[in-house]
Amino acid sequence: MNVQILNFIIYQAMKSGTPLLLATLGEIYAERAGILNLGIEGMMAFGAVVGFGVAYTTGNPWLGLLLGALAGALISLIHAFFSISLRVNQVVSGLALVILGLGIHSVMGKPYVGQKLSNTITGIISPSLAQIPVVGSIIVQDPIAFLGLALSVVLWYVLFKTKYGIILRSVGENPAAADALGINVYKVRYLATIFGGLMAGLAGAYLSIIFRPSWTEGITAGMGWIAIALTIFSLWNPIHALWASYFFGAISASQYLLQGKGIPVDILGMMPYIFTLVIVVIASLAQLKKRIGAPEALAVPYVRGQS
Amino acid sequence: MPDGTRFARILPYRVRLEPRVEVPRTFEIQVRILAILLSLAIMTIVFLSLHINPISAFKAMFLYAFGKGILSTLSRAMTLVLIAIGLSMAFRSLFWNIGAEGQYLVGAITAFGIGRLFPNLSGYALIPLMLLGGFAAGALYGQLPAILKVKLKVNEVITTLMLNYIAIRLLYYLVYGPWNVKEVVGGVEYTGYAVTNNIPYQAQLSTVGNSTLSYAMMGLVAVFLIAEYLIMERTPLGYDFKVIGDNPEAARYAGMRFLRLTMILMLLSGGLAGLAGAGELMANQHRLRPGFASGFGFTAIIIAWLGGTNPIGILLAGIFIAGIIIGGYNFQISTGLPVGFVGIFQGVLLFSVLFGEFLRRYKVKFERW
Amino acid sequence: MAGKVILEMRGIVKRFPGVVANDHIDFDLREGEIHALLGENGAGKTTLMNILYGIHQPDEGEILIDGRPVKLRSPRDAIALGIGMVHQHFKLVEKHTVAENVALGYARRVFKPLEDVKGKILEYGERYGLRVDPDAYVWQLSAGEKQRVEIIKALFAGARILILDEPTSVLTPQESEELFHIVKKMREDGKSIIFITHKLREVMEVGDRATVLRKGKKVATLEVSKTNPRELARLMVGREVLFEIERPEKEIGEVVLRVEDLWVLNDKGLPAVRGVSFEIRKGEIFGIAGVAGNGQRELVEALTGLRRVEKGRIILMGRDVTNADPGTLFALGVSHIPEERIKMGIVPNLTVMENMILKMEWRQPFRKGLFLDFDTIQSYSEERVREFDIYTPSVRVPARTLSGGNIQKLILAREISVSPKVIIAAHPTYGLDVAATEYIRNRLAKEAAGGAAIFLISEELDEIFQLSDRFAVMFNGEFMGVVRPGELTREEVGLMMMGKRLEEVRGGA
Repeated sequence: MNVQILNFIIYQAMKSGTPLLLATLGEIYAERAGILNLGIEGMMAFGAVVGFGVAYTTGNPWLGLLLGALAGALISLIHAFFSISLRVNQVVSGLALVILGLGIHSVMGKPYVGQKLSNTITGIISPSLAQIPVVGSIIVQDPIAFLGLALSVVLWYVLFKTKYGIILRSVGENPAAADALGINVYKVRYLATIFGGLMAGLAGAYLSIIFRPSWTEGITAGMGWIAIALTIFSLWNPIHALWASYFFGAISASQYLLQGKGIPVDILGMMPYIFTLVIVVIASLAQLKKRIGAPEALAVPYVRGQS
Repeated sequence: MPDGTRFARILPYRVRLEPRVEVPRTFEIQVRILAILLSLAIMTIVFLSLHINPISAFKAMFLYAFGKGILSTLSRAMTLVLIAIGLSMAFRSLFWNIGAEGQYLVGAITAFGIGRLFPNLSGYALIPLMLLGGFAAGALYGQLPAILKVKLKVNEVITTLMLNYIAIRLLYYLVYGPWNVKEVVGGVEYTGYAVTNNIPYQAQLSTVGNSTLSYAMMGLVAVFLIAEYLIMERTPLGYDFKVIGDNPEAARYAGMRFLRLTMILMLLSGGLAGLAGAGELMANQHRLRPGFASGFGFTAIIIAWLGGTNPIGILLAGIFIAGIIIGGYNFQISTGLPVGFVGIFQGVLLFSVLFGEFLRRYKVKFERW
Repeated sequence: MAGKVILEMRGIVKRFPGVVANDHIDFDLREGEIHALLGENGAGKTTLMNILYGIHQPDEGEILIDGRPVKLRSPRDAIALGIGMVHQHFKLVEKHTVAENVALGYARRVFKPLEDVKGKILEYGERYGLRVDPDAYVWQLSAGEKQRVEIIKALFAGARILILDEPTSVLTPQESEELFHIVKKMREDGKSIIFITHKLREVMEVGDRATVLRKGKKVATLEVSKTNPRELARLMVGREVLFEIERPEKEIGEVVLRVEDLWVLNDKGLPAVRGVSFEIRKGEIFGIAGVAGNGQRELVEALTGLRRVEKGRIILMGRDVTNADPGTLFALGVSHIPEERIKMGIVPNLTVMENMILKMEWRQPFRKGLFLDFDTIQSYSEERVREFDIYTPSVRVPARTLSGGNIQKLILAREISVSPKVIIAAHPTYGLDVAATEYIRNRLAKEAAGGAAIFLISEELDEIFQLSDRFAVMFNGEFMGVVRPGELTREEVGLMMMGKRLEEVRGGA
C-alpha cells in the first residue's frame, strides 16, 4: 500500500474515530454504573447544535466545545431522572431522548443550515508534517483527538485501579452490595449518566466544530447508535474502546477510497452499518465464549430492600 | 419486600414510592390522559420559549388536524397504526423492535419493485401482490435480528437500528440509481430528480374523495387490530408471547421454543411494518423518494406505548399522534417554524407517557423526615 | 457475663401493603451477648433487622443506642453507629475479588485501594478464624467463605453490633460449628451479636438470650439457659409442632428414571456434575442432600432439559431422553418444581388461572382449535385452587399478588395435577412457614404413594431424613454415597457434605 493511502487511512481513523471514542467512553461509564442510555444519538445532536451555535455566534470554537458538552450533560439529566428516580424502562427512555434531542437539534439548527464556522480548531503541529509516514498523520491531529486518546487511558486507570472505579463497577454489578456499605447508589448513577451525556455532547460538538465545521442537519447520522455497539464490542473497557473506535474510523474512511471504483456511493454508505452488525455479532460470540457479559445490573433500576 | 426509596435530602419531605398492587382499568386510562395533558403543558413552555403564542399554536394545529385536515390525519394514522400494532406485540414479548422504519421501507421498496416488474397486471392481481410483497419483505427483514437475538444473544436494539440505516441507504441507492425517474417530455429525457416513477395506475388504492385516506388501509387496520387482540388475548400463541415478555425464565422453564416464537413474532411485527410501507406507497405517495423515510417507524413506537395493550387505545393514540404531525406540519408551514418541533413534541409525549407509566406503577408518598 | 444494654428498639411497627410485618415489637441487646432472634419464615425477623440497619424505615416506634434515640435513614447511618449486618443473601459483587469487595467501602486512599485493605483482611483472619484469600474472586468461594467476607466487612466498619441473618442456612453442619466458634470469639471481644434463625438447635447452642417473634408480634424474650427447645418451638409456632408427616403405605416398583455417568457444566463452563449415576423407582422418593453450589442446581437443570448434558445418559421409562427439551420431558411425564419459584415458576403478571395451565396452553382441553378455552381453564383452575387450598380472592388475579406459600402451592398444583411419572422438586419448602411446609411435604409423600418417582433436593437435612426413601449426599458434583435415612447420624452426613465419602465415614466411625 502506498504511503499516501496509509497516511490517509490512519488520519481518518483517528479523526472520524474520535467522536465515536468520546461517546463510547461516556457510555461505558454510564453502563458500568448500570444505566443503559440509548439516547447518545440525541445527546450528540443536541451537543452538536449547541456547540455549533455558540462557536458560530461567539467565534470561539473552544467555548462551543465546552457548552456543547454541557448541553449533552444537561439533556442526559432527563434520562437519569427517568431511569434512576422514576425507574422507568431504560430502553424506552433512551429512545425518547433520541427523538427529543434530534427534534431540538433540528429546530435550533434551522438558522445555521449551510453556515460555515470561520474559526475552528486545528492541530498545533504544522500540517506540512503530515507527509511523514504514519507518525505524520497522527501528530497533526487536533487537540481534542489527543484528549480522547488520553481520556481512554485515564478512564481505564480510574475504572480498574482506583477506589472510584471499584465503586462505579460495584454499583453496576450489585447495587445492593454497594448500598449496604453506605455508597449512595443513586448519586453514583446520576454522576455516571451525566458524565456519559457530557462526553456525548462533546462528541457532537466535535462533529460540528472540528470534524466538519459547517452545519448540516442530521450531522450525527447514526453515530450515537454505533457508539452503543462499540460499547458492547469493547466489553465495557475504555482501552478496547480506543482501538475499536479507531478501527471503526478506518473502516468508514476506506469507503472514500473505494469511491469512484464503480460501487455506488449509497451502497458504500451502508458499510459502517453493516460493519456495526458484524461487530455486535463478534462481540456476542466473544461474550458467549469467554462468559463475560454486561454489568450484572445494567438497565435494572435499584430499589433498596429489594434484592 | 419492596420499600420506598429516598431521593436527595434537599426538601423537608422525603419521597417514598410504593408499588401499586392492583391497577384499576379506569386509572390506566386516566394516566394516559394525564400524560397527554402533561405533554401539552410542556409544549406550551416550548412554544413560549420560541416566542409563539401557545394557544393559537394548539388551536392552529388541532383545528386543522381534526377539522379541515381530518382525512389527512386519518390517512397518516392508518399507516402509523398498522406499524404500531406489530410493535405493540413485539414490545409485549420484550423484543425491542426499533427497526420498524427499515421494515417499512423494504416493504415499500418491494411493493414498488413488484409494480415495476408487472406494470400490465390487472389491479385485482397487482394490488394484493404488492401488499403481500410488502408484508413478506418486512417480515423477512425482521428475521435476522430475531435469529441473532435468540441464537447469539445479540442485542436487537442495535441490529434492528442498523438495518434501518441500511434500508435507508438502499432507498437512496434505488431512487438516485436504477429506479430514478426517466421522463421524456417533448423528446427530451429528464433525469436526476430524486424520485422514481409512479407505481402503475391500477395499483393506486382508491381513496375517500381526493384525500389520501384509502378504503383498503382502513380495512387492513380494522382487520389487524382485531387480529392482534385475538392473537394476544385468545390464542396459545399470544399466551406464549406474553409469558416470554413477562418472565423469560418461566418461558424457558416451560420449554417454549424461543427461536420459533421470536421468528413468528418478528414475522408479524416486521410484516405489518412492511405492509404499512406498501400501503403508504399505494394509497398516498405513489412513488419513492428519499423523503419516504420520514421516521414513521419511530413515531409508531410512541403510539404503541401510548396506546397500551388495547386495540382501541392504539387506534386512538395513532389518530392523536397523526393529528399532531399533520397539524404540526400545517402550523409549521404557516409560521415558518422548523419541522423538527414535531420531533420535540413526540419526544416530550413519549417522556410524558413514561411518566404516566411511573404513576401507574407507584404511589408517590411525601413524608416528613 | 453480659453487660449494659446498648440497643433498644421500642414499639416498632412496619406495614407493607396488605400486611403488618412488625407489630409493636420491643427488642433490646446487651453488650457482649449473643441474642437469638427466633421465628418462622414470615414472622418479621428480617424486617425488624432491616429497620435496625436502616434499609426500611419504621412506621412507628423508636430506636435507642446507648440510651440515645437515633434515626436510621440508611445503612450508612447504621454503619456510623457501629451496626453491621450479614444478610442471608450475601451482598457481594461476584465478579470482583474479596479485597475489592472490602475496598468498596473501606479503602481510604483513592489510588492503590487494595493495598489498604489486604493486610487487615489477613489480620482479622488470624484473630477470629475468618480465613479467606483476599485475591480470590467471590464467585470462586464457598458459601462459608463468602459469609466470612461479609463478617470481615462488618468488622472493617468497626461494628460492635453484628446482625447475622439466618447465617447457617447455607452452611454444612461443620461449617456452622466453625461459625459458632467465630461468633463466640467475637463475643469474648466484647461485641454484641443478633443471631437470626428459625432453628432451635442453634439457639440452644449459641444464644445467651432469645426473643421469639410470631406473625409480626413479639411473643417472649427469655434466657436460653432457662428454657428448652420444646418451649421455644411452642412459642415460635403457637402450638405443639410435631413435624410428623403421614407416610402412607406404598410399594416401590420398577425403575422409572435412570441416570448414567452424567456430566454437566455450570455457567462458567466448568464441570458442575461429574459422573453422577442413580436410579429412582416408582413410588420412591430419592433425596439429594448437600450444601448449595455443589452441582445440585445443574443436576436438576439437566434432568429437566434446561441445561445441556455433556456426557452420560438420562433414561426415562426405558427411553433415552438425554438432552430432550423441557417441553418434551414435561409431555413424557416429568414435572418440575423449580428452586426459584418466583423467578422461574410463575409468570407474575398473568392471572392465577393462566399460570395454572403453563406448559399446557397448546393442549386439549385448554385449547379449542385456534383459541384458548377460558371456560375450561377457569373451571380447571378453580378446582385446583380448592383441592390444594390455595388462598386467592379469585383465579383472575395476577399470580404476583399471592403469598410465597400460595405461589408454591400453585406450582405444586400445576405440576402434580397432570399425574406425572417423575417429580423433580428443588427446595420445595424453602422459605415457607410451618403450615405450608407441612402441607407440601405431606403432598409429596402422597404423590409417591400414588406411584410417582420423586427426586427431591433440599438443604434441610430434616426434610431429607423425613421424606426420602434413599438419599445421596452431593459434594463438588459427585455423590459421596447413597444411604437410607437412619443409617447415618447428622454428623456423619455433615462429613459427607464436606467431601468425605461414605466408605471413609463408615471406616472412620
